[in-house]
Amino acid sequence: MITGAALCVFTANAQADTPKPTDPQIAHIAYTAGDIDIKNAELALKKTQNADVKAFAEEMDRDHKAVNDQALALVKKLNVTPEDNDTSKALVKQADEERAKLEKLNGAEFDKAYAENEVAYHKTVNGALENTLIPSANNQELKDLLKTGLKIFKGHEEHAEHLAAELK
Amino acid sequence: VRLTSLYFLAFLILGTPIFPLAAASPAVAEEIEIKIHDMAFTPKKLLAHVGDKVKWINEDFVNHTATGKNNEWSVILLANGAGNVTLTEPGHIDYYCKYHPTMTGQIDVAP
Repeated sequence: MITGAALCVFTANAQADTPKPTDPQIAHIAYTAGDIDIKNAELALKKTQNADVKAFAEEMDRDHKAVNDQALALVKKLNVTPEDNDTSKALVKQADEERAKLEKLNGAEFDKAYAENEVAYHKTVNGALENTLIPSANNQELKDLLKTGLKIFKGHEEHAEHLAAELK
Repeated sequence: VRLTSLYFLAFLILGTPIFPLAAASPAVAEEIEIKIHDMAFTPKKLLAHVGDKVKWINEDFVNHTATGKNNEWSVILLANGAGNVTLTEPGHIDYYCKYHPTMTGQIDVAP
């Protein structure tokens, strides 16, 4: 599961002695988190035969691409260059490891693991948005986009929970 | 042929979903707007009358739908787009977004 590991990434950044992320770093973390879920969705669309899992993965692919497109347009408008950072790097590393595990699974086993991972991943990212990234953002337009993204991702979390419950 | 199939056929031909025809129509039909903002239908509950046109306006940058709970009708609402249905029978309608099933709404249609 990615939960514990990803949570560690965000918790580490929330320590008192760790400086809060800058706007270019926040933009990079948010974009990276979306890109990870797009890759997970692409894997699910390749592997699943379950119509509900397919519909969910299509939703993740469509929505995260839309949010990331908005993020790219905003950083361009603000003339901000997203800045790679330790949190983004750790997120990618952990997500790659988790995806490698998912790739080895098939059928109902894959569907269940994918859905459970989506619940855990969205809980972690939503928590990070709510408690770290949104409060740390300085630019109001970036803050607003993150807030809108959070509402979309909370819907994803709820949908993922329903899906995971159905697959139990 | 099931009656619902005929309504669906009418939707395909007319491009606008219709509900079963009522015996009578109100004198003045209204266009009523439901906004979609931040993943929610507003108002979530709507009181309308037979003959009214309900227009969903999607203010989000992600696509949505307004889809009958029975899946017999559906309107695709592209990002920053809109779509509508005309109400032609009294009753209670539960609908949801097919892409985001936790988004739901209700319309009570009075004669």
